[in-house]
Amino acid sequence: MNQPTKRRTDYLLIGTGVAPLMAAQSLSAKGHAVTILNPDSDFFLENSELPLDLMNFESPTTDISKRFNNNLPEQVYRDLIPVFPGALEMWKEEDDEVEDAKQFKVEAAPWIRYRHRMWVVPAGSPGVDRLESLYLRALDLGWKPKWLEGVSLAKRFPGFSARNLEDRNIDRWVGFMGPRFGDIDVSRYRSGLFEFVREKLGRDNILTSAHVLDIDSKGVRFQLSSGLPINIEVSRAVSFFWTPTMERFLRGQLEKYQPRMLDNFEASVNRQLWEEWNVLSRDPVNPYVVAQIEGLRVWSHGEGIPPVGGWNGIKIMRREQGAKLLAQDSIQDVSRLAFQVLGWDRFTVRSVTPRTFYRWITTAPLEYDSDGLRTFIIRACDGPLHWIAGKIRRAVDLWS
Amino acid sequence: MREGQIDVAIVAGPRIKAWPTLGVRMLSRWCADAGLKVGWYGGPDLKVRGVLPLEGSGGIVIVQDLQNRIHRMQAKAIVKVTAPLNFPNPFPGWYSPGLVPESTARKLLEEASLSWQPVVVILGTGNRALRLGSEMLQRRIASRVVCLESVFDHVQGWEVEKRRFEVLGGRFVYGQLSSLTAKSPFLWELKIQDQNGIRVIDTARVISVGPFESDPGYKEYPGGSYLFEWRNSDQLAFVNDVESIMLDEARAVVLASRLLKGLADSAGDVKLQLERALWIAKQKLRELETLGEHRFAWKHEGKWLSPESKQVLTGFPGTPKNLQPGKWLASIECVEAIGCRACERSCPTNAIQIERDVYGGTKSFLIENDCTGCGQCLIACPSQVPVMMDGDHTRSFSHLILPYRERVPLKKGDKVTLLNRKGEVLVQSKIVDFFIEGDVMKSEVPLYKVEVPTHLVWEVRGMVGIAPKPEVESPDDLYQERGLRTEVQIQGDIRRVRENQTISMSLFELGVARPNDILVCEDGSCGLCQIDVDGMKKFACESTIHQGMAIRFTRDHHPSSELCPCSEVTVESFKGMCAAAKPETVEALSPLSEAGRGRCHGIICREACIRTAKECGIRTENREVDWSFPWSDWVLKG
Repeated sequence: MNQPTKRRTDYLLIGTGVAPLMAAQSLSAKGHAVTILNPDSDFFLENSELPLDLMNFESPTTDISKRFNNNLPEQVYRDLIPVFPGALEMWKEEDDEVEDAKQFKVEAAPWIRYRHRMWVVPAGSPGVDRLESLYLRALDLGWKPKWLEGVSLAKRFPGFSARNLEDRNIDRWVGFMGPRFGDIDVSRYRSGLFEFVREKLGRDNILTSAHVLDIDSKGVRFQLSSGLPINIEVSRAVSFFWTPTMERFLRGQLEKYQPRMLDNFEASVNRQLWEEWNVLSRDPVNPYVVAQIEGLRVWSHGEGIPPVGGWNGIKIMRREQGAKLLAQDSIQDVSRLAFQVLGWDRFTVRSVTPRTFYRWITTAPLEYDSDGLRTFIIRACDGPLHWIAGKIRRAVDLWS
Repeated sequence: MREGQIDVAIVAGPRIKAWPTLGVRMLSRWCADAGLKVGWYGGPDLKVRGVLPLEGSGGIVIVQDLQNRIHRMQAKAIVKVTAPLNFPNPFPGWYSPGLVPESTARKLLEEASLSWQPVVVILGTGNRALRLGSEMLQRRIASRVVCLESVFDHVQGWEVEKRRFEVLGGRFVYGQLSSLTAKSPFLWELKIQDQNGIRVIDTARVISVGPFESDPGYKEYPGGSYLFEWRNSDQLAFVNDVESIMLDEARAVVLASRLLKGLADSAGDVKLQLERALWIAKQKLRELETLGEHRFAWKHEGKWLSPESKQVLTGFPGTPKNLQPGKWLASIECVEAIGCRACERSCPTNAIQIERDVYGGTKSFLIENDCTGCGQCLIACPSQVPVMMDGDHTRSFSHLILPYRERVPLKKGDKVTLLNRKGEVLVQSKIVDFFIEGDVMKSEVPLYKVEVPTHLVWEVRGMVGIAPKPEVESPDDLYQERGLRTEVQIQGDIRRVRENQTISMSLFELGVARPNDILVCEDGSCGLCQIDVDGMKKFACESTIHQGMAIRFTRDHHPSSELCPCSEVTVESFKGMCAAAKPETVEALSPLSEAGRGRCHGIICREACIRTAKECGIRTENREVDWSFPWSDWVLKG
């Protein structure tokens, strides 16, 4: 029988994605001993982290000014750079026109891209009123939105094709172009951060495939997939990072230690199921705009700097209303976009991936006592990467 | 879109041609008998686009029918049947028309008018590789066949297949692949690194068969999800592949057991029957597994069997103990516990009885008094192991019945050279008579009665003709013309190619095939072989030649050393990524690298990526099943 391995740490961080890595980086920078525990087999499997804000304004009272401010490229940079050990590069449309603009840049770094956000609806639909309201609010707040119709709108739409224009009723689309927001290469950011944290903490302090967790006043006991039991004595706090992947694990922990908190746990989120479509375009796609049309988010997708003219792939995020994946509605929605809006005669689906995100009702961390050990559940560790970074920064301040 | 719900969906992955397979029929029968609602989806009429796993267990299968209607089936359990490609680890020039997978090679053998001279190199030494090599030699398609293995003196196939291959003239080379370069449209230079340095072989083509790693057979991933990948190798073209058929049968039972355990509440008698079948299937799988671990090989001292091997041979229950003058007896020299039982089933007098011992091993037993020497066992054996003996220790000469594979039949009195089990020359002799006539072109091997010195009856196991007859005037005569030719334009040049042949085949025949043509898959599942035909984009593997068509390549294609030719990921960049990110598991590679996420959706490079990751120290023992949707590019038309 294996004898338990004993270790000591100040903070034990339990999570599956980028959030525990960010927290580990911040805490270790303050001189604390940190151990990360991942119930998954790897840190690259979490898929609830987004490169940008999907801007799902469900409430008419949403403070759009704050939301817009939070997504400005400079703000994205400010949120993400403190915990990232290397360079974050910036790319905008004007860079393509200046030959020397790309000099002294780290090509392999995560890039934050400046892209306009465009909202589009069919003219005469009930969505026009909401769109006009949003436009007016943005106008009043000084965001200088630009109202567009017909060809002037369509030609900016990512993936728009000018073929057979005469047969298509372009005039039936209305919308406006909003400010430029930032989006980031999630995969590069996570890899870079993980590489650094691993070197800093050492491989022994980043453990994957951990299961059977027992928490008491002295620390945490768990097993690795190899069956090796490990006891970690935790002197300060244990933190769980709540992502959709972690939900079942967290519920199990609460049932065990804090059953009274389960109601609070359940009430803090609504689950949202999205479909992520990667579709190939025959022609390069305009990389300067992220469009929102009838519940779909559409943008040219790739890593790093777009090549001249843009990438050939577009990403379509579609919110699934009936929690029924790849049903008739979703194929119809994407087909309508391709054939009626973009003017394609056919399209190639490269991949479709289901993604689950939370719509958070409460985002403040849950704090409780597990047999004498201070324990936190950090909420809102999914969604846009820069939001996660902000959330983690506040959580780290709270512990320290 | 049509929607449906089902208990078990068995779906054909890309490039599965023969559908449903034997194993699929067995699995569905077990499930249906237990009261589960089972459906199999695949074949030419139903194209499975992919599977979307649901949270917890089960998933959604998206199927497209001939009318392009989409069917969405929600299933509690899904079994995806796959036929993975066995490609070697990438080396310079590997992705080129000079290196083709086994399925393509078989198609070229059957349908194309191609020369396979001077040498054919087969990568791998498993049973399939040995069988393919033997077939090519037996049918005189190639005069020299070499099987390449990376580990020295380690042949992975069964002893009987190895023996057959060597007796037919096949040879083994041990070493690592170094490079493959085109010398002419029909000749490739293969460099192999072995213990003595670089060995160069000028070859007509390299055929990749493998195996290059152990095959897990089937896998549930993630655990408890009721989503299975079943690596099924039973295809119509491989009817004689005994090992694959046995594996499929056994795995079908094991899978059925797993499904019924979780999904069928009251299967009653079926469960009892299945339990019995499961016990036998597990024994069979264990047998085949242990066989792989302890390969048997005859030991020789010079050309002769070593005393220890001789003892094994004469002591084996399948060999006759008392040779009787004037009486033909079968010698079943299948020493390894293969247990295919083809000889037992074929014997009209039940003289062969294969019994299973308590450890799961099988041994063949010959009841000498019942054996009439009819030769049916020799005809039935896929490896032609049995030898018919008419031994007489009181005389200098005895008689054996041996197969002979030349195109031009021998006649009584013709001289032959007798060979040992390794294909080495032992002695000269002569044909006494015909035993059974056959048609070599149809893989029916004629059997001859041959005179053998009595002291060599346990040594001689093959023969070749002395001074081969001039069956061909020149190497060009080995080329077999099939069908009428017509004129087409290829890249602006007028070429004559055969009508109604696929464009891919024609490109191979003309020596202008592109690397992207090597799969010749007929179903366009990888989408790689796109070509411009009369201004329209089509797949070369499924479009046929007609008079006057104009064919243009859509882009330049060059032999490649890239790991993932679709996404242009090199081995170096992939290894660099692995070294930097150091992911714990192979599953984590997917978001990190574009490799395997290109146009063919990893059909070509997925296995190679996993092996390269293993070289970088990434855990691959619990390799995941790739459930990304769709399995191949899915085109939707307006």
